Amino acid sequence: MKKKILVLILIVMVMVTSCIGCGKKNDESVTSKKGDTTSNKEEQPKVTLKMTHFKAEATEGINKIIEAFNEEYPNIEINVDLLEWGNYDTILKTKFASNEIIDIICLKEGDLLNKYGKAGYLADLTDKTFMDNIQDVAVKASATDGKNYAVPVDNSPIAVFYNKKIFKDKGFEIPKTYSELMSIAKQLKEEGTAGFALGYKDEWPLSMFQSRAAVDVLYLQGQPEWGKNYLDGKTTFADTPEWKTVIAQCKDFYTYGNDDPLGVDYNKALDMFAAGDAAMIFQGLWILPEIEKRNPEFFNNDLGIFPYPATEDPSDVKLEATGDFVIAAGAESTHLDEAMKFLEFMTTKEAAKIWTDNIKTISAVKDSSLSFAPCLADIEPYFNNGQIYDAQPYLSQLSGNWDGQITKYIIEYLIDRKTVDEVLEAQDKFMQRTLNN
Amino acid sequence: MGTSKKSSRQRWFFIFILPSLFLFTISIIIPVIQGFILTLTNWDGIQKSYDFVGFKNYITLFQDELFYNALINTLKFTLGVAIFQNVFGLLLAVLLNKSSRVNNFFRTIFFMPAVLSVVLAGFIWTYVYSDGIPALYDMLNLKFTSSPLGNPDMAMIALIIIQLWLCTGTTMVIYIAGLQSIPEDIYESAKVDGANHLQSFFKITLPMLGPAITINFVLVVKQAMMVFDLVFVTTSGGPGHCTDVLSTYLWETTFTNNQAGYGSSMSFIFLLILIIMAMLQLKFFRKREVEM
Repeated sequence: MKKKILVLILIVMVMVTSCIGCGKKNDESVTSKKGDTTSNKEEQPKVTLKMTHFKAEATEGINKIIEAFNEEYPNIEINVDLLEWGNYDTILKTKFASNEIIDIICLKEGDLLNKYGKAGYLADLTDKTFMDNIQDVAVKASATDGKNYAVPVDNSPIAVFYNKKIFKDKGFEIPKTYSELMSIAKQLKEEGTAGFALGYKDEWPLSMFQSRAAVDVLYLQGQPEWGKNYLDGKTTFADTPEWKTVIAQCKDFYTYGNDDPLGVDYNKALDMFAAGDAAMIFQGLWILPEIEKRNPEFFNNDLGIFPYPATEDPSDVKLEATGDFVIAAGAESTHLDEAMKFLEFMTTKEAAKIWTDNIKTISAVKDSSLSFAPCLADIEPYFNNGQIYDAQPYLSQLSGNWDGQITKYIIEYLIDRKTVDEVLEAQDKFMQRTLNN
Repeated sequence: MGTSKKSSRQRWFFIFILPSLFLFTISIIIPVIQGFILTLTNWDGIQKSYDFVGFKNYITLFQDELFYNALINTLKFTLGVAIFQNVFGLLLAVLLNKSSRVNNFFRTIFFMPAVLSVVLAGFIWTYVYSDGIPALYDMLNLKFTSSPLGNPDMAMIALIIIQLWLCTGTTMVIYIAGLQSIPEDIYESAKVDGANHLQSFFKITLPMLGPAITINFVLVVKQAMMVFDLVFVTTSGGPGHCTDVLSTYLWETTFTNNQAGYGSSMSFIFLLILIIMAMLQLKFFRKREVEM
């Protein structure tokens, strides 16, 4: 009898202990100060804010910005949580679903920002005065249904990076039409160098390419509301011949790019480009620190940029400068004032300079410098002459994972598993399924 | 006197079960019920509110060609793994059955991959396929065209190879345990009767391994049907949808495509498929066991 009671007690203890272990600890992000009964006193109470971001290459820069921030606000401590980009969305969703409070949330402009903004997790910044420090184009482009839920931090031109030395040796001029670009790529491929570095094992470089090509040949060529029209049922993928053009451009890149593009991932593609095994790469400014790390000599002397010429009309050539990294405050934060102070700091020229020096993307703060990488001299004229456009208003007309899905279908076309028509039909079918949900 | 003792024992049985029952209820029963309610909604996983849509998710599921694609891929993977893992496992077990220093050494070597994290193994093999094997081919002056993980026809086979590498050790260990439970005298009397190695294998070893075969098949099939981390880390279902398995498609639907309700319904159908497969297998193998 006694033994049975003892065993029973032990079992219950084990059960209780395991339940404790399963519990969630939410108090890391909540206030930690002691003795704050009178918060109106001059002495500032210590506050700890929790921040999440996904940009591994920006970690050092962000820490430097926080250091500078702490010189002005020593009482506000910020704990930074770097999460992996591939799972960032999922992790954020899980955190929100379990009511974890994040004070400062970094996001990407576009679908990610829009969905959390619409769901009410981000504080409304539309009427804050510090938003005036940011370029108007950026503020407008990053709005969700007219409201601003985040501060645009940088914009990252997405264009064709090229190897100036290879171009000079072969006597190539910067192409201003699509066929000029393709004849360059074709000649390169025939002579043994890959025209483009393609890291399509990771699907996002292809996804990025097809969506930008779509903006260039569809939205900017007379159908700026195509996405909205699609949602209203006025058009479909299969009925829009411009999508066939986009897929044909994907095929050309595939043909003149490196061997085995589906086996090479993004990092390996960067290796190839930095080593000169591929002459061009369609990417964004975020690759600059990566290229500098791999081949500083190339970065300083032979790296160039030109905007992607998607059509046969040279006057269409404009630089895509789309907002990328944005920073928001959690709507349910218990320290909203302090979080807002940090957001305001992010709009100052001081923070902008730290950002551009360390992370090397173009800051969205008004009048910030472009001199942090030699290749930017190539695109400065486009900024100065206003020949830039932000792709986000077009890309975010269709919400959800439409671009990830069509990329998978395009890959099936590239490996001869589907025809172009089948790709567009399958995409329409997929959209029916997700939109009607 | 007798009845009160019996009912008091029964009371004690019940009290002892209570903690486990409690844990089982809150960690399995209740989430399953909540999950089923989710399948009747159109929740996207983020918004705080959602609508009830009845059984629409299930109807959509049965018309979803990507679901069938994932199902077929999962079955292909499971078939390949189930057959080869058991064949190789049994082969290794028979070869390494006798306890000797050499055999013990090899048993350890073959079992070692089983303790590796699957994610780690996936990463290692990605580089083996993309850099290691080409380098090997280079040394032999042959041209290696492309990493099989990027090749739509070879990707599934490449994945099966990794799974075999990871899990054959466990199968082997279970078979060794089964082999060692067969008494030696049966073999001796068979030899006296004039049976050769092959005959004694098929007429004695295999039948007496009945329980081990059952367990191995059930475990291997379940593990193969539920594969997620291996596929996710190496190909994430690519290229295109060639290596999409049920669990990766489920993950993509629920998290990437923001269709939590639809994904939930898929997971329930998946559960049903797994239960049916397990039941069929047990029935088939148990019947064979009894016959022996």
